[in-house]
Amino acid sequence: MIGKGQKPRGPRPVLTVSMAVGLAIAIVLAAFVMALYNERLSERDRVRQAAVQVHILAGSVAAPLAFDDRAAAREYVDALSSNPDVEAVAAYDMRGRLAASFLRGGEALPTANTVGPPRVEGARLVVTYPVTEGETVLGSVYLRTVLESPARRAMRYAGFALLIIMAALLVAVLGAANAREAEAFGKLRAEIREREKAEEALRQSQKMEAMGQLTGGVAHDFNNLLMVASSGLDLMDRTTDPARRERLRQGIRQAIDRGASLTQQLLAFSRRSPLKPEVVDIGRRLAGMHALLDRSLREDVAVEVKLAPDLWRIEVDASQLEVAVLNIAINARDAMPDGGAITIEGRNEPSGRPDGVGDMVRLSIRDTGVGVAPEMLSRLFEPFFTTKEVGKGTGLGLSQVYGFARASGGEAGVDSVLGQGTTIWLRIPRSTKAAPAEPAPAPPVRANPEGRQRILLVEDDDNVAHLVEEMLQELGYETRRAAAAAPALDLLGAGEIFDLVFSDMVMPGDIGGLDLAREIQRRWPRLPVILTTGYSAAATAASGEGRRVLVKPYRIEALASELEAVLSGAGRPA
Amino acid sequence: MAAAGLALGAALVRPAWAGDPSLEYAIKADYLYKFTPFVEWPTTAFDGPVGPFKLCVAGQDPFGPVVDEAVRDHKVGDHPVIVIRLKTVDRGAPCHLLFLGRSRLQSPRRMLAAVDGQPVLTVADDRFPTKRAMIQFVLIDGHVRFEIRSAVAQVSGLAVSSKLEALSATTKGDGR
Repeated sequence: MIGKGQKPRGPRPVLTVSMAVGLAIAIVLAAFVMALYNERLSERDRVRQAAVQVHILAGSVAAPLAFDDRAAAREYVDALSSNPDVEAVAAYDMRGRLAASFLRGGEALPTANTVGPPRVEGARLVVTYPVTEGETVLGSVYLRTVLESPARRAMRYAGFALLIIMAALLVAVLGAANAREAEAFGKLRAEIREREKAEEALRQSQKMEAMGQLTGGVAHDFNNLLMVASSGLDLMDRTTDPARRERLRQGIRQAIDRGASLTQQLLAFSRRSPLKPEVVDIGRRLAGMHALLDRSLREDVAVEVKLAPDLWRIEVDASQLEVAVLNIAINARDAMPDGGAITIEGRNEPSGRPDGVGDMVRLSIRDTGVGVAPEMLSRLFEPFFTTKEVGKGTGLGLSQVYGFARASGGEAGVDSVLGQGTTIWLRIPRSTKAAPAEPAPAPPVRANPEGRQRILLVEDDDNVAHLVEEMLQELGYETRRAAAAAPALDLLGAGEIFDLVFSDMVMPGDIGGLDLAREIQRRWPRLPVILTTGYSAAATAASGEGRRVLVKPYRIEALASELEAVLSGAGRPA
Repeated sequence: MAAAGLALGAALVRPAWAGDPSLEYAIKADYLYKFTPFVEWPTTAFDGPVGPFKLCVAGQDPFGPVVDEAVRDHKVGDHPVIVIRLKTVDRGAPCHLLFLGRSRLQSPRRMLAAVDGQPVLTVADDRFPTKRAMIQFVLIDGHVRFEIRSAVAQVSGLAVSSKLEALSATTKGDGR
């Protein structure tokens, strides 16, 4: 946002108008100074020339003056008169009498010659010189030349001045043009900046709109889930029929699972959900998904899975892979309002290199739906981009697919022909690691066999604390609750004996769960700590320190196995 | 053309002294002194750097006091000018400039022979012409002029300025 006072200013022009004019004036001034200097030089030159002429005359007329040879003296004097600048020449003998002279005009010749340095009399230069031979003074000479007349001088400088003025004018005009151009450029840049800001604002508002759509969609989904859970609980209170209660219980459980997966999607979109890569056999995974897909899709949508028999394994976050396939399938379903077929294909794409680097597995999901308009194709993977109406979609589905593919070192793409269907494909790098053994079925929940072990539960939320305490007691543990980290440390400091500390991470107070775990490790190194949080950034930080983290929401089975793993010695220090 | 002008000028302008011998010799006395800046004597010709410049008038003196008047307070270079009058010119006469006047005792040839080979500028009067003097006064249309024989001067170790030569009546006569 820009305030009114901060009018964006363009770059300073290289040459302002005043600078250009100044430059032009400087050129004229410099030319004037040069002309003045030139004038000075030329005058000095003229004086020197006149002096040379006078010297030559003085040398020449020495003998004629000495021996009163007026004709010879006259000859030398006349020789100088051929110079049109010479106005008067005279030679005086040693008694100061005029021996020979020439006068073109102007003032009369002086009756007596005063020998002195060259002098300027008005527009005339007078040069005198003694006539000597050896050291005998034989007379003097007088020369008067016309200095250049102002008109002639002006004529001489006129061409030069014209050129200079033209140059100055040119500089001024060019400079002004340049300055205007720079100014216009500055304005243009300011305008571009303005426009960029407007675009940024537009983007921001689009984002806000998308956020609105998202929250609307998510709220809608959650409301539905909450409705299921709430009404299920109400109905459970009103019936004692075990079969019906079981059905309601399952409905509630399903709603909660869907809520959890919705938040998982949001987190995946915000790229805060850490991927837990494992080696995955796509065929086995898809086979396990078949029932899920069937349930998610309508009856008029047929699903066909075509996998190459020797499909390579990949190393991805398995649950994210499932979510991605599910997202694509749901999009396909929505693209086929009148029913159709979804074909899931998997095949190997060898790079051809002997070391197998670059080998990819391609997983494509094709539908027979309406297709995607070409102008929409590029936006398909954008977060919040949705063609569905408000409440029907979050715009996060395909963005999760894209994020998942990139995070797994692969890529995602879309091919579509309007009216003929869409194919969304993933290319994931091949993994040469061996697939892990099928996990053993979770052991049934059972009470702690070693008698009542004590667990210190640190949790600020009363509701959550109450439920977790119940679960722990259900699992056969004795519990004690602290509402924050400080009272927990007080309890431990008071000497109460616990076998394990189960602590929330984000809590009010100065000490968080992670700090508590560190403190406990420092003071009671043999006391194991399990952290729990629904906040993925905190979970990532704790995992980064190598601590055990149970991500909320968790089911009682997960809690039981985690506690057992720690208490049975896996996590317990010897 | 210059020579023609000179002849014309000489023909039209008759000087005021024309026919007056005393004025004529006053001019000649002046010229004697004025010749000196245009002639170069070897330094060995003088008795030291400030030794006198000896102007000799041989035979009958036609000048009288005007020659003393003409050189009074004048110097040739750093050498003060003194006038020496000689009845006869002997061998090795101590002169730098020798004016040959009319003499019953000595012929011009004898006078010139006496200073032959010495750096002595010899000047002959127009009434006493001799081909072997370095400078010969002549009267042209009543004007005192002179002929310069620089070749003769050169033999005696004197250098005559070309400026002086330019005024030589002979030279002008050659151009005519």
